[in-house]
Amino acid sequence: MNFADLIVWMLKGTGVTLTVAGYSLAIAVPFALIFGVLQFRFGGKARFAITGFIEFWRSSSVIILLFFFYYVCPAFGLRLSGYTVSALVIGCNIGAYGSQAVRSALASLSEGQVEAGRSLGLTRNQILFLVELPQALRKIVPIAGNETIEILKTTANVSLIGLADITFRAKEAMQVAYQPAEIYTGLILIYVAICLPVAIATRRIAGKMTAKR
Amino acid sequence: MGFDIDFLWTLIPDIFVGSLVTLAAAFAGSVGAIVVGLLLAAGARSGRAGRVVCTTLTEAIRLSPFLVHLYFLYFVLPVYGIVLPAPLIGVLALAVHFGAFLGEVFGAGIDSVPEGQIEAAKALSLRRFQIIGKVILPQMLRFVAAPTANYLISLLKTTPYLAVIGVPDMLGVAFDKASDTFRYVEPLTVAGILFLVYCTLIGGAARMLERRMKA
Repeated sequence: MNFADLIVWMLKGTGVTLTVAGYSLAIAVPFALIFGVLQFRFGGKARFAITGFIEFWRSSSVIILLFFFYYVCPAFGLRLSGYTVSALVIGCNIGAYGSQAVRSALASLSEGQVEAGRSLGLTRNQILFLVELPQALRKIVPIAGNETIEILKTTANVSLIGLADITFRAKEAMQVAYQPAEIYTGLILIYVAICLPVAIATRRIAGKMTAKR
Repeated sequence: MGFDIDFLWTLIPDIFVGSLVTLAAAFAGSVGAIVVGLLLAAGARSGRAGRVVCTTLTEAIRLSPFLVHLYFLYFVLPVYGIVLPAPLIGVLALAVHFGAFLGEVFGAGIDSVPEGQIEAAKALSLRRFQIIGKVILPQMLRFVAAPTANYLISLLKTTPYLAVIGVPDMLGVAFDKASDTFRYVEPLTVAGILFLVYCTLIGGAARMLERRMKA
């Protein structure tokens, strides 16, 4: 096969790659927001439990968890589809990373913001949602962009549990036509082509936001 | 199927040996990644051609998955007559992938050293390598320590991928055991827990080191 045919062959997996990425993002974003805020807001035992949960997802390897949930859960009667397992593992892993960005962005705001809120008679939760969060979210735009790219790249792992994404198609192409140099160079180019727009958009948005302030 | 705790105990020695392979590969990969990172950071700052080549390479690596780099080195190098053992390819892939990320960190570290420092060193008539070794590197080190530690922990978490190309690391051993016995639950549980322990320990050590450096 020539190079163009190989690319077309691999691109058939784009739908699966983007679907998994979309599901993962749908889990990662709420995970990051909820747990980042909870970790920031609570102290004592509650914080300890929240930190433990986040650390579990942050400290494990995506590939091990992917295999674990895919092969181990059925043994206990819990049958999850490849999509569910992938979205769950990738979403929670990247979400846990993101939660740290949310938490540290909240923590980096000056104490004066909270004091000003309090002197206006806002409750602690009102301060959190009306004063602190809007400012924190602005700060994490570049990190959110990077994590989105990270999700897109991590979806390559789903080929290992049998979902026919771009990487899976590349392995198929390897069996049909053994042209490793062309196939894997093409595969890298496809991933770059998918991720580059996200990288450029992130840089633009982050640049605009800093220019505005 | 359920859970067979007796079977689990019999797995621990072999998977532990596999985990030593994981740690060794992660260590070698870390050293390689630091070297690659320094080369890319220096290359991107030496002349126009160097900048174009190094930044293109860095971006291409940063925007594609590790798994693909691993396959790339594993399948494409032999085409050009370079046949390497799988563990070496794994270490190489770790070094190249994380080297690209570290290159960005080191680059930012180099740029964080004020121009005046270099001018002052030149005024004292230090040689070029003295300026790099005694003025730039020590100041850069403080700046890059924390992000570098983060990337190296992330490298450790990526090392189990080497099982995909047949390296007998902890995940590789776990899969061998699983396919011998058709029981996936116990081997993967052992590998998962052991790995979590390693990452937590090494992550904790890094954080302690960071705190000590700040103090």
